[in-house]
Amino acid sequence: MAKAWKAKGIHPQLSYRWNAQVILAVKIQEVYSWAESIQNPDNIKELHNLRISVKRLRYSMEFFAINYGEEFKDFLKVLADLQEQLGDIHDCDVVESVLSDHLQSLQDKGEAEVDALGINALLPRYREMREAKYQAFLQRWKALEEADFKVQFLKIVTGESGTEAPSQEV
Amino acid sequence: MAKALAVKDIAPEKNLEECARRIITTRLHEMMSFREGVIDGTDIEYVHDMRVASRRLRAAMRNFADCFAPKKEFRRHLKQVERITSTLGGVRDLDVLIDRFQKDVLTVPVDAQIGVQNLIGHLQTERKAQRTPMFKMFEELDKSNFEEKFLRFFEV
Repeated sequence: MAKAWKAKGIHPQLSYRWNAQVILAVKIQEVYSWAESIQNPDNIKELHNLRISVKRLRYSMEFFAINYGEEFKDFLKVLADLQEQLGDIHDCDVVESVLSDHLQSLQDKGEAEVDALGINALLPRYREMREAKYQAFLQRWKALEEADFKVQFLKIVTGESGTEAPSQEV
Repeated sequence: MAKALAVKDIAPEKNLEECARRIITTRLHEMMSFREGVIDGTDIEYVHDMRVASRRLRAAMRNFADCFAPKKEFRRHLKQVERITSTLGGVRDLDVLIDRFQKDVLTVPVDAQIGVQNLIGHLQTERKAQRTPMFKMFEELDKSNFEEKFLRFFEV
């Protein structure tokens, strides 16, 4: 799991609202740092890291929501949906890995061909499901890109006038 | 997933440190409220809810780290929360797999069902084993007065 990006320039004695924009802008950048590598369905680790970054952003948005208007909730909803889609992909990856490992261990022990029947019945099902879930996610991601989601999101978070882009360290 | 508890007395114009303290202590209470259900183990949702609450707490602690000193003590509390997430994660992963395969077993041909049943049995044994370090963790948290010390450090 990749480390969370840490926002620099936080001022504990300044307002909650002011600090919200600094922290959220960095969390959004963290999410988009995975944008390129997730175009390949075989990048399981990167998709997992994106899921974790989306989760971090979502939880941060939940506790900063008080600083923003109704529109913010729409962005939060998009994040929750993305998290769910990525969660479904991850679940399929985990199941496939568990089934494959189990099958291998059955073969290594020279045990129970009968057991392998069950595992072999499930494996192709999860592979197909994973492919479908990935394609659905990618379609959603591309639609958001076409709608300029990131730019709109940053505008909402930092205010229309915009603040200086916060620096970040990994 | 359980909805996050609302945090009282925070406002955009209040300073970050005060809000951070209120958020973190609320999230701690939320996380610990699932503890008895987790120990009981009958309903798998308690482990899930406690783990999600621990992630919310972790996210808050990391975002607001600059508000707290001494750093050494802050890091010690964060490490404990990370341990809670990770220990519960081991149990949760197995809960999800068992639940999933229990649904799947009825959807495969009859001659293939025994293989899935045996896999479920194997995972249930693993789950039992994963709950042992979890009980140990709760014991150690109690022994070290984790909750009390945590609240004292973060209270407003």
